[in-house]
Amino acid sequence: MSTAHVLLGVLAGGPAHGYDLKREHDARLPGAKPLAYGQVYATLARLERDGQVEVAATEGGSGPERTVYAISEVGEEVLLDWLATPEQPGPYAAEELVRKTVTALRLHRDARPFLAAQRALHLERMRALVAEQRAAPDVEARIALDHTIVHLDADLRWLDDAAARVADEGNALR
Amino acid sequence: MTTLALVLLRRGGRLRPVVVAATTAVVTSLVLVVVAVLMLPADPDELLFNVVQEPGLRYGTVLGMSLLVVPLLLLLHQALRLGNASRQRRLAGLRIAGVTAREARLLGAGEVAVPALVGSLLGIVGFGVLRSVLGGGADGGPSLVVGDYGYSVALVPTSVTPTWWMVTSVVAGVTALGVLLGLRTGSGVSDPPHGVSRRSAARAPRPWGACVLVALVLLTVPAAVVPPVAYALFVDGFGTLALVAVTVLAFVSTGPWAAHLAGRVAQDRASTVPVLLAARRLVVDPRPAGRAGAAVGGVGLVAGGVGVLLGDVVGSGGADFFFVFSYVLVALGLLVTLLLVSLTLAVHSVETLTDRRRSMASLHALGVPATDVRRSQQWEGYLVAVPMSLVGTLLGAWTVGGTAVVDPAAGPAPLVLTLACVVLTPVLAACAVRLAVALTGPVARRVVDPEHLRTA
Amino acid sequence: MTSTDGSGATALLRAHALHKSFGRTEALRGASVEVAAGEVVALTGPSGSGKSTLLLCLAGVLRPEAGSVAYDGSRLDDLPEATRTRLRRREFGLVLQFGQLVPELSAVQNVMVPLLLERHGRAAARTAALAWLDRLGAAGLADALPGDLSGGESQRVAMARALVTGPSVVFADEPTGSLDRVSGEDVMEVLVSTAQSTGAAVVLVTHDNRVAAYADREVVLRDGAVDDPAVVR
Ligand SMILES: Nc1ncnc2c1ncn2[C@@H]1O[C@H](COP(=O)(O)OP(=O)(O)OP(=O)(O)O)[C@@H](O)[C@H]1O
Ligand SMILES: [Mg+2]
Repeated sequence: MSTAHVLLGVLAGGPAHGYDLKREHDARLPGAKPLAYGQVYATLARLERDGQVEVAATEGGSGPERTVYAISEVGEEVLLDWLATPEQPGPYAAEELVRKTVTALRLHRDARPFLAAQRALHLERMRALVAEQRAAPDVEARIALDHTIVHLDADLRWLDDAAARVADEGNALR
Repeated sequence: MTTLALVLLRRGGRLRPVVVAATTAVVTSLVLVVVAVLMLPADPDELLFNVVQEPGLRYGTVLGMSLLVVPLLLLLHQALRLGNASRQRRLAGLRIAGVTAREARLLGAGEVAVPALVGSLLGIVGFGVLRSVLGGGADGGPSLVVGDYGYSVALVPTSVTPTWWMVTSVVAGVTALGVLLGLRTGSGVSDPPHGVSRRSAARAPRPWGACVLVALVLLTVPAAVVPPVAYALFVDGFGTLALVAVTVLAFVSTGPWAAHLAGRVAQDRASTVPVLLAARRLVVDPRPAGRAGAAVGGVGLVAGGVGVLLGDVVGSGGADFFFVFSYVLVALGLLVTLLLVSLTLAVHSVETLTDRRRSMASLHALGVPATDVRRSQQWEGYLVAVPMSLVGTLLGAWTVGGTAVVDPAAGPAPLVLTLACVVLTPVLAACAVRLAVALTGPVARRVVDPEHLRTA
Repeated sequence: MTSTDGSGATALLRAHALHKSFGRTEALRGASVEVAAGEVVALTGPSGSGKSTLLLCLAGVLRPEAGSVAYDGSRLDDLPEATRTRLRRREFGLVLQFGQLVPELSAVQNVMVPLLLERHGRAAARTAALAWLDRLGAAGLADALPGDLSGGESQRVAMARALVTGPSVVFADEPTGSLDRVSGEDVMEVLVSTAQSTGAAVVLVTHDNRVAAYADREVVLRDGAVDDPAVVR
């Protein structure tokens, strides 16, 4: 599970507590879904169990917010291993967009209003991402945003292609 | 292959074959007239104008007629470059479709050979027409009556006729010349299609020609002082011929350098768009304009020399019909040459503009008036033709007249006529440029069409 | 930001029900669009939908056969050619996908052209042109000929030429069309941020959604008219 690896990557830069980890994770991956606190602590617990992180210090009272974690030697090994290994491409789950469009067409309903509305929404999101990217301070952030933008662009192109095919089909039938 | 050639011939646009045929026709007619003049016996069986009739004057006339071929060849050369870019693309496309380099060259040659042959054959007809209009005869053919006397102004011998093999060789020669020029201008069409695009400017031309001209002028100073030198240069036939040859060569190689120089000087002072465009075209590609400039310089050279001679004749009161009509003929020849040369220049700038129609159309879209494009053509012509004709006229006047022009003993006529030539020739050159640009106006107007702005 | 739909009295440029044919091809069939001052509008749609034609009609380069184009409240489509040419020169800038720079003119001379037309002196025009090249990050290219520039560099020079007169509207037909994504992004960044700082509106034709996302608003064309998804054909 790669959230764990990203957190290990953050800890490789120096010990941190859970709150810092979440903030750094989100800053490093702008445009992606933000990490929930619960997930941070669950992941840390698992990493500690597997010996990949250690508790470096406990500040003040008890509770997870006060615990400072550090990466262990095992953790570093796991991290380097992950960094060096390529990922499997796909398979992608059918997205809601595709499900909705295909279902509508199977029912002989005009999917174009949906496709157009969806395109507007997607472009709205694209605009926000591009604006965020233009304001991004460093190249890492821009690269992370590129990924989201390119995926969104793939969806947009799919929407355009679908609309064009539906229009073609309509013209052919007339 | 033949079908393909015919298709290509029809796709290539009409202007190029028409100009090729027209120029080869006129060249053929002229050469046939020259051949006929050369065939005349020392004492012809007909009455012609003196410059043809008298053996002593005949060779000068032949030289003059042959020089008229030069601007025609310049025009032919320029016309052959018309549409080169699109022809190159077309032939490149054929290469991809499997036509070999040799076949592509053959097709390219065929595109020129057909109109050149048709033109040469029409030239025979033209020769026939000239013979019947300007032909001599026992009665002297066409004549002008001045006072009580009628003078024959016939220029084309009718008592001799070029034999069939002479005509055939002239036709074959002119056609071959056309094809050769065509192959030269079209070289590269058989190269792979998407090679390196033409990028920065070619090497700037060198001033050697101008140096030679200056040396010639300096040479005339001792010539005016030392009689043997003067004799060798201006009186001895061989010396004069050598002088003319060197001068012509020097002019030809001065042209591009002068065009480049004019462009550089103008670009650094240009405060309007037409001047800037014209100046930059001259700097980046000075050779075509330079060739035309050299020809205009040649016209100036002759005009200057003739101006001085005319001044001499008028000054000495010897202006009879023979002299006046001879000078009218020379002046006509010069005017026709000026117009042909300016046309060359205009055809070249039209070609350049057509090549750059996308950028021209986008200038227009940015707010450059369409007339500015035409004005840039005019400026391109002025920048080359006016200085070259001025320098040529001065040089001609100096070489022929030297300091004699201002000799007080000869009266004011030589000076006045020489000055008139010096002023008139550049003015006429400018007028010829205007006329030529006006003639090509419709093409220039089309290059700013917004159609060229479209993407893909 | 001005009203994003460009409607109402704030519209700087307003095209209404434009029709334009080329021979038997109807490129525009009743296209209407409005652009507010300082607004960035993207024209998108499939190939042949009439984007370039609409852009050129808005810019007063092409004349529609029917409908009207108004700039700053007065019609420009029925102005005589010479007047429209002058209007374009003062108020509009134009950037194309490629091939718009005059090949004989150096980069800085290309940028000087619109200023020379307005009779600025040579020296003043050169200074201003150099300043704009510098502003667009192309200062080092001033004396290069267009043939020696890369695609992205050419576009910067073209944008300098379009912006140098301080136009109210910049028209761009696929300005990033022959560039890779990163160069295209650079060009868009420069175009949009410069237009923002000078208050110029931008009308942009593009096939690239990322480029369209630089715009405040998208107008989709289909078959020569603005696509309205609510209308089922
Ligand atoms: N000058 C012209 N001559 C002939 N047809 C033209 C001309 N200009 C445009 N058209 C036609 O008008 C229609 C619209 O063309 P336009 O260039 O505006 O489309 P576009 O949306 O810009 O397309 P693309 O995305 O391919 O650039 C097309 O069918 C095109 O062929
Ligand atoms: Mg287009």
